Amino acid sequence: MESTGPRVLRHAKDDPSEGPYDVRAIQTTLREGAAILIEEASMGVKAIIPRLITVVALLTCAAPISSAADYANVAIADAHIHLLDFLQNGDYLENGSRQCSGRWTVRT
Amino acid sequence: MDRANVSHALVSGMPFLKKWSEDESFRPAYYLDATSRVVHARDTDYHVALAIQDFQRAGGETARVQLKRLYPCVSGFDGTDLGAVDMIAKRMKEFPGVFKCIGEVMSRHDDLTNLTTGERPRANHPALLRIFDFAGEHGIPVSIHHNIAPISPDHGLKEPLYLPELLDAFNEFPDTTFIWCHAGISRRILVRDLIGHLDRVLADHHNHVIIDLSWVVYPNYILQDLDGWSALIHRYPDNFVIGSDAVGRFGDYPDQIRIYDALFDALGDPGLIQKLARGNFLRIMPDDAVSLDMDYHYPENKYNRQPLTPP
Repeated sequence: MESTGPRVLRHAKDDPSEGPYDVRAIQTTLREGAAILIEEASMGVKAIIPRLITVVALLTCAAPISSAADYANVAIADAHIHLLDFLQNGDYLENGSRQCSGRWTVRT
Repeated sequence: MDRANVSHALVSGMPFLKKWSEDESFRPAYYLDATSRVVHARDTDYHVALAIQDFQRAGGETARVQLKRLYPCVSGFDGTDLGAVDMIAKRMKEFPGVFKCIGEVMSRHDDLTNLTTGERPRANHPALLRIFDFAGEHGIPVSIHHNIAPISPDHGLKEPLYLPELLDAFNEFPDTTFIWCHAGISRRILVRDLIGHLDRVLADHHNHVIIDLSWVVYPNYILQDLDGWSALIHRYPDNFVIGSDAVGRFGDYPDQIRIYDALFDALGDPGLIQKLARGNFLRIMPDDAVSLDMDYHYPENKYNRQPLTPP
């Protein structure tokens, strides 16, 4: 059971290269899909259908993000954070990029 | 944290680091990236404590106020070493006013455990019992990762074979506050009626056991049965917390922590949502960091023999 559910709910630990809600990537894909759709409109209805299906599927995938009720105003206490990952031999990750340092530097 | 409307957070280092084995042509970063072993990161708490002290020095009063929002944990110890409790006490004496809790204690953790070498920890191991006893004595909450069952490589359902070990610890230390990480679930952990198991655990231990709903338990179990989990949380409104389980990268932190809207929706009750979102966490966490006398030593002769229930 390696799958951890719908793409939008995947945890960052499953794939450190992307977050669980890759909204920007989905939006980009949708924009690109829409652009291709418009471009192919000139080629006739048959050519549009596969693209149309793709765009609808993407919209459906993205639905959990936009359709959930907005609880952004609910303050959260995060009960589980690791400040460090498994690279601690003098290195550490900062926003996904490996930095080399003997010690953390603190920005205030 | 502010961007994500996170008011407080439990923070720890990482008790393991990934060894770069000579037979790996690349440097593995995540524990599952390669077959290289993981080794105990004994200095992980130094990184955290020194960073906090840097922040304190640089930030003055602002830093003091901001640090009230954090609950740093000691995590860098070997859970099979009877002397681990002494190492924890030493860290707390070295950095007075920094650490407020212990964890994530790594007990049974499927693939991560497999990548370690030597003796394997379990929740009723004497080394961990000494730590739980110490924690209860000093009012220090303990966050523990202990799978409820072995993995299911064939996708078949498993019995909760590892639960009795954890119950040993819960039974032995009713005055110790435990946060059970991920409700005992990890990758490929498939058990029937997890809600029922948790219900029975909380029936006996609701006074000192809190269930953490972070990581894969959320998509794999909770989102599959929102009504069932909502009913369980309604039965034990004071016993659940949420978290991001963020690991060393925070560029997309708001997206990692704000995934619980569907569960909030299912709960419905604003008061209960507030408890789950942060009320329960703040209730169990100490306001102040641990302060130990410099001559404090955990007794040599406590829990240093046979486990309560041998494996």
